[in-house]
This record gives sequence, structure tokens and C-alpha cells, in this order.
Amino acid sequence: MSEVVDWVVVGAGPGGLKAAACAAQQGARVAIIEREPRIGGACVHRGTIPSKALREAALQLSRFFVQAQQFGMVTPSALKFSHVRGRLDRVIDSHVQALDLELAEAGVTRIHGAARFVSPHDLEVRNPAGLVRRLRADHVVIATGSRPRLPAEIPIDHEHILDSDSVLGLEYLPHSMVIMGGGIIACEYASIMATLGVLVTIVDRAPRPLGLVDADLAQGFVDAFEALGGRYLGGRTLARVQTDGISSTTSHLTSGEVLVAEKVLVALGRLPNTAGLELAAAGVTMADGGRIAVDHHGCTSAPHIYAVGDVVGPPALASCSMEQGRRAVLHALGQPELHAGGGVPIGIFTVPELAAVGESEDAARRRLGDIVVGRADFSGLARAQIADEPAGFLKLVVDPSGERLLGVGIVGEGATELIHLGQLVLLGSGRVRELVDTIFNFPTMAEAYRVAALDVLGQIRVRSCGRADAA
Amino acid sequence: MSAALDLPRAAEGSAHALVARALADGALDLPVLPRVAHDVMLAAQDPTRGSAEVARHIERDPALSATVLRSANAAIYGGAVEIVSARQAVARLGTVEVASLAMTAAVRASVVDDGPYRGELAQWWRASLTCGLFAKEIARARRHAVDSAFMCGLLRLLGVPVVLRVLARSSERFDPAEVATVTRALATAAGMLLCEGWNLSGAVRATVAQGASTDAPPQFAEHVFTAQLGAAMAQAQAAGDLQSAVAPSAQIVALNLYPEDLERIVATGPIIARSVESLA
Repeated sequence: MSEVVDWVVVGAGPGGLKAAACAAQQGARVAIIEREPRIGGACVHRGTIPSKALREAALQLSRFFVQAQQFGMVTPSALKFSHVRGRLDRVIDSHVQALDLELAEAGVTRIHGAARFVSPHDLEVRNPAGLVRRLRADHVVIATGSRPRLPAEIPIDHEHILDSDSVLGLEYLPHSMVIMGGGIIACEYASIMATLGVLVTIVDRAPRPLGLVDADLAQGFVDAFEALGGRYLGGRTLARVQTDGISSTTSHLTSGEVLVAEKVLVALGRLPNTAGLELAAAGVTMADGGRIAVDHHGCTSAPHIYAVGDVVGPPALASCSMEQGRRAVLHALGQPELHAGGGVPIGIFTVPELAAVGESEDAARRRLGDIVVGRADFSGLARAQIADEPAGFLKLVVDPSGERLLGVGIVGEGATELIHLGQLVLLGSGRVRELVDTIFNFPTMAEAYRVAALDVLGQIRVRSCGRADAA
Repeated sequence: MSAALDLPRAAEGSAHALVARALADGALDLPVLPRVAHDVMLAAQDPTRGSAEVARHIERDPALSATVLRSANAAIYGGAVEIVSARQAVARLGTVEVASLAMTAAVRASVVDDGPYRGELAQWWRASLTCGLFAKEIARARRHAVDSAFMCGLLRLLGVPVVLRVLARSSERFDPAEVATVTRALATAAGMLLCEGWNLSGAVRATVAQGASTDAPPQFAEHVFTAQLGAAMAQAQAAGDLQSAVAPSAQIVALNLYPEDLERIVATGPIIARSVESLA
């Protein structure tokens, strides 16, 4: 006999949790099904939160080791990874507790197990103990997330050749690591490992990493990575990884280069989690690449079933998944969705951080031609010098008139926080002048906005003078 | 330390009483783990010391070198080229894998002997190897902590040879059923003493301390449950019915293993059986 609820949410990651909370706030009876014993999804347990916690711990540790050396202290190398792992576990535990509390306060029923559709409104949930429950719901949200893509030609054994999930199960620091891929996950782990003293080599088809941001931002990452002893081998393709079915991680590239490393990390994208859901029984159709096809409200081919987050494809950001979850519920309930403006900011937690919002310099130049780019180097900011983080810069991408802000790009420590100020300007007036007229605290990194805006105004003055002279 | 041991009571003169008294009095002739095994493990865990140092430590001990090479050429590693040196083994298998082989060889050399209970010891060793290999496959299926799973499974019942050693010192020869009973009852306490003596890792200590208990400390819960499930699979495989180990259990629930995960682990059974043949 089925338990009847108003909403069933499948998957307790960022998108699913937000959808469940939003539906419960509307007074609905909501059940959320999660395959793992703890809620949070890959974001909390295998992705966003762990990698950021690792990064922070690695930075803390590297600063500690530098200072220890300055004071002539001898530090045991074994300290490194135990510290990092311990901190990671504590961060995850406290975040899961907060999420648990939030769900409990919202009155959402939690069910542990793997779900599958048996009809458009009925789901069966089976947990590892073999217990089976049946649920019937008016509405369903599918938020089952994604998993690392495992190319068939690479023998990933999660021991010597890892994916971006199993890299978090490492119990000791390898001496060296080859990372296949030049995307966000690959570059974030490359930074973390290099900061911890691992000899890292990134191999990717693209001539430069992080193709979704401007070349100068990506170069900021490459420069810092190489300063840590890392290597980026762009324009390379893997021919084979020689493992003999075990641990030898000799990577042969089609260029003839041979890379020997203790571990290989394969970070070549992610695939949606739809296996086992039996979506055909629900009348849900698929798009290419294993994604669930949805309209701009997140509605699938079955009008009462929504899909949100990584399972519908890019941008696969936790922030977007949450927003999609909220909008899906509001749409189903016939309420206004109140679209968030200001664009979706990109935050890349490499060392140093990269962030961007709005239109990139490349895209703006292609669209408008002679745009203006104002730049503030962090080395010129008092706060950056005080914090001993002088590397990096902020740039404003501005229309040819020099008046309207189109986008912001930042490379440097604190970039992922600093970007939100630019996002708010884009969301509001969009006027560059506003950044000059606003009083910022001194000394702060936010000053970079004013410096870059003044650079824009200076360039416009020069252009005006040039035009007057020509006339 | 011995005063703190809380051991089950048994009749004076029985095998149980003999071992319990030895444990309580601290009158144990604990097997000694060769110094070289410690050095190898430490070198493997220290990224600043490099693989050459691991190989150097192994080469210091000819008997250990020979055993490591025999293991490195076993079927489970499937290499086409024969490994003929410790340095080649390290280059091919990696420092952690070779250190693990060295530790396995050292444990075997330290605890398996030709005494009156050699049959029981051989059986324990085979079960421990199988348990370690299954534990590794379980960890692989969960994509977590694969590096330490084998050692936790291998050493889970480390107290068994200690108990058998005490019994072997006695002039009396005990009935196999009684030996099995006393081993089951006292192996955990004996294993903990050996963990201290050998300065084994926290994960291995927790695995030994828990025995079959499911009340594992959170920090090492996954190691404990992985080794326990590995032991259940080893036992089921020995009985010719590996499928019986994948019925829902506290360990399977705790490790959050679904039927498809368990199917993948069960599929490795024949490979593990062949590997045990070559490693035992």
C-alpha cells in the first residue's frame, strides 16, 4: 500500500533540498528520497564543499609550513594529510547537521534508499537492508545529480587511477599525480595537490585550461600553478594509461610523451544520474548525453514531474541547482517564479581563486568590437599588501562608450566573494560611474572596483582627446 | 595494562583458562614484527622519502625481498614481465602496494609457524588473505579508502596466532573444537596487545578491537564494517556459497551497498580465490 504525499523529491542535493523546503513552506506534505545515508548530495560529500574545505586546509597548512620554516621549526610531513582530512570531515559534518535541522524544521519526511518509478505518480524505494516502500505523489522533482564520467579507455580502479569522487578517499598524499582534464574540477584539485607539495601535471586537449573564462584569468591560474611546481600540458591527448590492471600510472600521450606518476586523477566531465529511475514508466523523455529533457521551468515531458540540477545538464552549479529547485516548485503551484537577475556568477576555487560574472571580455569584443577594459592590479592595493596576497587583478568589461558595465573578471585570493559586488552593479544601474562615486572602506580589496573604474574613465578621456586631436 | 583486561571466565586447566591467564599476566610471547616492515611502511607513507628508500629497505632483508617478489609476480597483478627486483616492483606496483606486500610477508613470517597448530594457522592465514582482498574490493566499490582496506581485512583477526602460540607452549594438546572456541573468545584481546606491540594504525586497531561488534567508532566505522563484510565474504566463499554473504546485514546497511554494488564485488570472487592460492 502506497504512502500518499503531495510532493516527492528524488535526491537530497542542493536542488532537491531547496525544492523540498520550498514545497513544505507552501504547506505541502513532502517526502525526500536519498540514496546515500546522509543528505547533501555530491555537493556536500564529494564535490563543492569537500574540495573547498580541502583547498582552505591546504592553504592554511602551506602558510603554516612557510612560517614554521621561517622560525626554524621542523614539521613532520605526515602532519599534512591527517590535518587536511580531519578538517574536511568536520566541515562536512557540521554542514550536514545544518541541512538536517533545516529539513526537520520544514517538516519534510526523509527516506533512505534508491527510487524508481513504477507509474507516473508512483515510486518504489528500496534501501540497502532490502526494505521497500511505495509512495504516491501529485508532483515529483527529480534531482539525482551527476557522477564522474569514466572514459572506457582509462582503467579507473579508485586506488591508483582515481576519479573526482574517489580522490577524496585518499588516505595519504601521493608524491606525484597526473590529472587528465583542464576543467574546473581538474584545476581545483591540481591547485590543492600542488599546494600540498604533490608534483602535479595537468594534461588536456585544449591549449589552455578553464575554457569558460577569459584567457588572462586562466593564465593567472597557470602562473600560480607553475610557481607551485605544477605543469600544464595543453594540446595533448592521452593514448593510454599503462597499468597492467594495477597501479603503474605510466601515461602515454599521443605526442609520444610519457608521464610517470604515483596516482592519476581523471576529471573529464560528469554524467547525469538517471540509471535505475525507470523514467520510461513515468513518461519522462530524455535529451542527449543522458540528460532529462526539460523546459525553462524545469518541467519534463510529464507535466507533473520536474527535473533540476546536474541531471538536466549545464551549468551544473550548486547555486543554479537550488534556484532551479525553487522555481520548479513555484511553477507547479502557479506562483510567480521571481527570476533572479544579475547573471550567474562563476566561482573557481583554484589557488588563487578565479571569478567572473556577466559578459566575458572575449564575448563582448566579438559582439561590440572596441570595448573598454579597466584593470586594477592587486599589487597596487594596500589591503593586498597587508594580507600578503599581491598576485591577481580585477577587470571591468565595459561597453565602447565607457558607461555601461558588461562583465567582471577577477583572479586572486577572495575573488569568489569580491565578484558579488560587480554582480550587484550589473543587477542595478550597470553604470561604471557608480563605482567611482561610491565610498568604499579603506583599506579593502573592494577598492579594486574603484581603481578599475577610474582606469576605464581614464581610457575614455584619452580616446576623446585622440578623437578631438584627429578632428 | 593487563589488569584492565576484562576476559570471559572459564574452568581452570582448560585451554581458555590457559590463554586468559597468559593475557591477564602479560605473560605472552608476542611475535616480533621485523624492523624492516616498520621502516618500509613509514617510508611508503612519507612523500619526502621516495620510492627508492622503500626498495632499499626491502633489499636489506633477503627473505623479505624474495617473498615480495613472489607476491609481486602473483596472478592478481597480471604483469606480462617478470619482476626480478624490489626496485622494479616499486616502479611497477607503486610504493604503497609494495609496502603492503612487504607487511603481509612480514606478518606471515612472524606468526605462521610449523608448531602443533599449523593447520589452524594455515587456515587463519588463508581466511585473512581472502578477507583482505575482499575488503579491498568492497572499498573499491565504494570508491573510498581503498589503500587501507586490505591491511584492515588482513589483520582483523591478528589475535588468533597469538592465542595459538600460547596453546602451543603448553605440553597439553587441546581438542580442535576447544581451540576454535578459545580462539573466538580471546582473539580480540590478544590482537589488541599485538596492535600495541606492533604500533599498528588507528584503522587496524579499531578493526581488531571491534571483532564482530557493529558498535564501531565513527572515525573508523567504514574500515571496521568493510573488514567485517570482507570476513563474511571470505567465510562464504570458503563454504562455496558467496551469495549468502550479500543478504542484507548490518555491515551492508552501514556501508550503504546496494545490490548492484554487491554484484560487482561477488564477481571478483574467482580472481580473489586464484590470488589467495598464489599468495598463501
